[in-house]
Amino acid sequence: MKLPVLLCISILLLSGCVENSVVDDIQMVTVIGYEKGEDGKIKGIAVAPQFQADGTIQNSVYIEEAEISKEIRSQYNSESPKPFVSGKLQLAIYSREIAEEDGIMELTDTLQRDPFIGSRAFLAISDTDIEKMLSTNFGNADTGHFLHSLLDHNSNYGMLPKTNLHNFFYYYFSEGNDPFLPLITLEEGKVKIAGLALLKEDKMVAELPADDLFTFKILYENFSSNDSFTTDLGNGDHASIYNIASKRNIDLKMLKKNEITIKGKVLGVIKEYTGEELSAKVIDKIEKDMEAEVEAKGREMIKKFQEEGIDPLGLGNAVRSVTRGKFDYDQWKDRYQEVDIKFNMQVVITESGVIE
Amino acid sequence: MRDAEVKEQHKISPFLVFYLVHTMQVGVGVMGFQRIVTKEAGNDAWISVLAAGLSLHLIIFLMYKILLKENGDIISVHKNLFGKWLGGFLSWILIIYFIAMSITVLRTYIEVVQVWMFPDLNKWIFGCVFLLLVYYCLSGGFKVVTGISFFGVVLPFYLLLTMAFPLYHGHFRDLLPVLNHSISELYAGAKGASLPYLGFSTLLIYFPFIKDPAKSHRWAQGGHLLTVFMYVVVMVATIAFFSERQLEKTIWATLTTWKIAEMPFVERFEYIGIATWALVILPNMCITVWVAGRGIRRLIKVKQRKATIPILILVLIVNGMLTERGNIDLLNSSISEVGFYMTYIYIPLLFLLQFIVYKVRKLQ
Repeated sequence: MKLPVLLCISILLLSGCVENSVVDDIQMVTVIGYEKGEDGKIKGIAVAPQFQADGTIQNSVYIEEAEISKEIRSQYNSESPKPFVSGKLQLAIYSREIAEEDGIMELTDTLQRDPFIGSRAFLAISDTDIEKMLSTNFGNADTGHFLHSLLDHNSNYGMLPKTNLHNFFYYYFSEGNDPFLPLITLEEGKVKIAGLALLKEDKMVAELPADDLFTFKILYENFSSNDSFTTDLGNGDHASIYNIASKRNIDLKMLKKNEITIKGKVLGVIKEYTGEELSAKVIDKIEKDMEAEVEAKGREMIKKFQEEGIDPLGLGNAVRSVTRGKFDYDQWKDRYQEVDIKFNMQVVITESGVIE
Repeated sequence: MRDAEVKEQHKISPFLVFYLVHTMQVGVGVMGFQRIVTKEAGNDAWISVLAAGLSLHLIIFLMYKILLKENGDIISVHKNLFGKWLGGFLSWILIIYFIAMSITVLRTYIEVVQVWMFPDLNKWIFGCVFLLLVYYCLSGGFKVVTGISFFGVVLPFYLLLTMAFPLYHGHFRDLLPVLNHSISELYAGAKGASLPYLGFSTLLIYFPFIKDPAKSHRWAQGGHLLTVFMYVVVMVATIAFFSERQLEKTIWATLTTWKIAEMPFVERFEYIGIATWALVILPNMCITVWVAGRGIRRLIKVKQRKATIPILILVLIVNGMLTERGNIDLLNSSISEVGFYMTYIYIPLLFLLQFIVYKVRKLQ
C-alpha cells in the first residue's frame, strides 16, 4: 500500500511545481541590439521570430529605451502579447558608438549572469544603424538565426577567427589577452562581415578590414578553412589558393633578448591560376609571393597592435606561461610595446587541382 | 554491548564499498569547487586537487586500521576509548556533522535547480518530495541504500564525457608554468579541494555492515582513486577553459562549462546534466541520513525508523529556512572546514590514541 500512496502524493505535488513555458506562448528573442538612445539612455532592439502556420517566419521587432538593459526587457513585455524569454538568444550586437565611447561590459553583464543564455551566442559590433539592420528581413528566415549562421559558418569554415560569448569573457578577464569581436555592416539590404573590432578592455580602439582577416587568423590560431586566398604574381597573373590548413607557433626562446617569433605554416591547394603553365618554378614563386605578402601584412598588423597597446594575439598570456614566479602584467604592458615581434611564414602548396 | 553486531543477511559484499565511497564523495561539491581551489593555487590548482586526493588515501588507510582493530563502528571506538559520556558526546558531534552534510547537499542542489532551471521552484515542496523518496529508500535498509549508491555511480557516469567540451575549447597554455605556486599556496588550495572529497567518513558508521571488511579496504581505496581521477580531469578542463579572473566570478564552474556543449538533440545541456544530478544527490542523502539514523539508534536504544523520521523533518525545516546564497555558501564552507579538520586531524589522532591505549592495556 505504501508505494502507491507515495506515488500518488508525489505526482500530485510534482505537477505544477514550477511555471512552465510552452513554446507557442512565449517570445523567444534570438537577437538583441544596443544603440545609444536619447539623454544617455540605451536603446535596445530585440527581434523575436513568429512562426506562422503556413511555414513563413515573421520577425517582430521591439524597440525600447531605458537606463539598464534588463529594464528594457520589462518594457518589451509591456508591448508584447507573450512573455519574453532569453534562452534562445544567439547574437547580441552593439553599436560602434557604444563600443568606442562607453565600452560594452556593462551591457554584457546580463548575458553572463543569465544562466539561460548559452555560451555559444555571438557578440558583434555594428558599423551601421542597428535598428535598420534588425528591421530588415533576410528572406523567409528568423533574423537572429540568419545572422548567427552568417557568423558561425564564417568562423568555422571561413576567415573569421572563432569568437563567442564565452571567448569574449575569457579574453576580457584574462590579463594577457585583449578581446576582439566581428564587425558587421548593412550594405544594400545585406549584412556583411566588415572585419574585426579590436578592443582594449571592453572599448573598441581599432579595427581590421575584412581583407586582413586571413593574416590575422594565421597569427591568431590553428585552423583549416574552405576560403581562398588570392595572390598577385605580377605580370597580370593571379593564383588562388584554397583548402588552407594553418598552424601557428609562438617561439619564446629569444624572450630574454626581447624577441618573440610567430611562425605560421600554411598548407594549401591551388584552385585557380590565370597564367599559362603551372610549373614547379611557378608554384615555388606562388609560395614565395604569398609568404612575402602575408608576412608584410602581418608585421604591419603587429606593429599596429603594439602602438595601440592591445594584445589580441594573446602574447601576454604566452609570455606568462613561460615566466616563473608571479607575473607582473603592468610591467609586461610597458614592455609589450618594445618587444621585437617577428613573423615568419611558410607556405607549402600540396596539390594543384585535378589538371596539370 | 552486542548491538553493534549486524546480522549476516544485512551485510553487503566487500566490492560494493567502492560505490559507497565514490558516490558519497561526488556530490554537490564538484559543481563548483574549482573556484575555491584556483583562488589559492591559481593554474596549479590541479596539483592541489591531486595532492588532497592522494593524501586522503592515507586517511582511508588509517580509518580501516582503527575500525579493523575495533571490529566495530566509530561509536564503539569512541565508547571504548573515551567511556560512555565523552565517547557519546563525540559520537553525537559526528551525527550532527552528518545531518548538516545532508542539509548542505539538499539545499545546494535546490539552489542550483532554482538558479539554473526553475527560479520559482518551491524548496519546501521539492524538499518534501525528495525526502519522501529518501525515506522510501531508507525503509528498505542498508542493502537498498547500497543499491542506490551503485546506480548513483553508474547512471550519471556519462557526465564525465561532457568534460570533452571544455577540453576542446580549452587554452592549455593556461596550465603553464607548472608548479609556479609556493607550497603554502598549494596547501591552501588543497584545503579548498578537500570539500568535494569528504563524505567517505560515513564509512566509520556503516563499516560493520561490510562482509569480510578487511577485503573491502582496496575497494574503498579504489572508489576514492576514481574520484581523484575525475576531479583532476574536471580541474584541468576548468583551468584550460576559463581565464583566472573569469573563474573567480563563476560560482558553478562545472555547470558553466556545460553551457558551451553543443549537441544535435538538445540546445542546452545543463538541463539534462542538472536533472541527472538528482541521481547523484539521492545516494548522498540516503547515506548521510541513514548513517545519522544508525548512529542515533546505537546511542539511544530506539528503532532506526524512529530516529530517521525526525532527522528527515529536521533536514526539511532547516532546508526551507535557508534562503540566501550567502547562508548556503556559509553552510558549505563551514561543513567543509569541519570536515577538513575531522579527516585530517581527528582521524590520525584517534588512530594514535587507539594505538597507545591498546598498547597500555596489553601491558596491564
